[in-house]
Amino acid sequence: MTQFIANILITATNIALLAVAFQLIYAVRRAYDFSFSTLYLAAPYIVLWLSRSVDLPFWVSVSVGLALTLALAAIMDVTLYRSLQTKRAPPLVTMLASFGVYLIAQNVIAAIFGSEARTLRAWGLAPPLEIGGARLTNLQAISTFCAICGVALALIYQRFTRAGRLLRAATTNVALATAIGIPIKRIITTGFLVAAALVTLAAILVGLEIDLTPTTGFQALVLAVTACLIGGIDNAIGAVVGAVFVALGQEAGVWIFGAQWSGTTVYALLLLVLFIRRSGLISGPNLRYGT
Amino acid sequence: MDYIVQLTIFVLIWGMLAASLNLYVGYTGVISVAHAALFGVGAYASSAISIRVGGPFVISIAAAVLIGAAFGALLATPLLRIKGDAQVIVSLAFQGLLFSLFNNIEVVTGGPSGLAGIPRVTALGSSADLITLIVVATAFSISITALHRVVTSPVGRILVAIREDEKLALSLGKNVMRRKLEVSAIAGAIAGAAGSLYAQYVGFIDPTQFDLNESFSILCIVIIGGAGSFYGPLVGAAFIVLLPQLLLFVGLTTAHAANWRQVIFGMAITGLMIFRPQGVLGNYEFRGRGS
Repeated sequence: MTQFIANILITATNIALLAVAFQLIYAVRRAYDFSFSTLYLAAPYIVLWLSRSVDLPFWVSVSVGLALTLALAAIMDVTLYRSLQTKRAPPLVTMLASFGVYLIAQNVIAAIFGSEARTLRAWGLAPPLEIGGARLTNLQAISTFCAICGVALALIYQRFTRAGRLLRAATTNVALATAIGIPIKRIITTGFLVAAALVTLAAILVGLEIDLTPTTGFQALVLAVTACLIGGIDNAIGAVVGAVFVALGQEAGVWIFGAQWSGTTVYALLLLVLFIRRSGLISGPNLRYGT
Repeated sequence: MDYIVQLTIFVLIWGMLAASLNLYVGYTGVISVAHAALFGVGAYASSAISIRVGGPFVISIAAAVLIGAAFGALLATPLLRIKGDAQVIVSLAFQGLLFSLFNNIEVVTGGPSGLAGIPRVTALGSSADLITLIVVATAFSISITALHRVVTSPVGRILVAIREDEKLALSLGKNVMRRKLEVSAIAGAIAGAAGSLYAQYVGFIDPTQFDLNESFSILCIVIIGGAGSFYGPLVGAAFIVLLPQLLLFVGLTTAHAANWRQVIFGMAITGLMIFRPQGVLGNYEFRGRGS
């Protein structure tokens, strides 16, 4: 039982990091934006390329990989999203355009690296630690700690910094924000870059533990969206609570039905939530027609 | 000659898929990325019946049509309660759920190893490609005629009215949910029939043939051809089948051709969403409300 609870906590912190990153992207774009998956996929493959093909030390690869992923996010923001913003594109168009970019990224990566599983980790696993009767690896302990720091930073950014408050104002009422002189483009770009940094952190942490494939971006998106929809997509705290529910569902699914049903449990949970309570457990938009 | 017959069979099958999804996307404004799952349901239902029970191919196609219609209606149940870009998320979850089931219900689907030895369409004592072509062309003609009748009938005009202004259609006393449910069942039935014909032609199916990438490809056909245009998706279907063949001619391997095909689709979708959201031949511009 202790191990089961430890597994839920480890999974929940990893999903919470994904969820707050996705929630921030949603706050910036007001759309279910596939750039989350694009960046989630690009970051670990850039690190993989730098560490294996360019032969840079691992930590240098991670730093350069972060910088390159942020550069990619900035390019996407300037070339794609600003032109959609100028045309006042509705959320569905933004989503489909970002989906096109994800298709490009996924297939370019598959063409270059192949579709087989790759790993970021170049070293063997240390013997597991035993904490309060639960066993976890060094890597799980480090990634859980980093994920908690990432989630805390995201919450602080959105709730307690001037940039976070301006972002909320700029995306809630664009006309009013423009009228009072908020530099909307700069605020949105900053928010997107913070989200990109969180996505990069999440992707590298997961990439160190689990094998990478060109479809990992989509799997992460499903986990993040499910957590956000359960907790309420307009609320960063809700995303964290949603992550706990997703982790609980996923681990319970593995425990009861076996590891191969873990994905099925998440999809079923997502459909169930949307069917029963579309606005999430804490808050969020009402997704229903005519209300 | 065999090569041309083979390509024609695939163009007709993908034409059925695109035309049925177009009924959904182009005429009701509901975006779905779960069409490959409905295609897969038809393929698995038909194959399981023909392998385990036997009997003439008409029985297995009829079963695929009925089961496809049932799953189409099942997809519509949560999908139609949601608005805008959140619909894409619901259909993603449905696609993911069915894909997991294809992988895990080994008794019916053969699991990741798939089903082999699916009997081919046989008529007049022959199972030659030409016989399959005649059967597929007949199924294609029936489907297209049925769809044409739907979109040019008063029901078709109601569908367009629902797409353009759902509240107005409701205020005029139209049963919006019932019409959408009917459309979803029709689209599912045609996708199921296409799946059955595909499985009986290729003789082997596994879950990777009905994954999210395939759903995206079918959606790309509709978007590129033009949602809401009757003939646009048919042109798109020819494009999707013939493009990988053209890429093989320029020296790419089969695996790389599939990747570069998706890259071209990604570029086309992103470009169209920025410059012409209604597609090449379409008349419906995506403008789904956000959540």
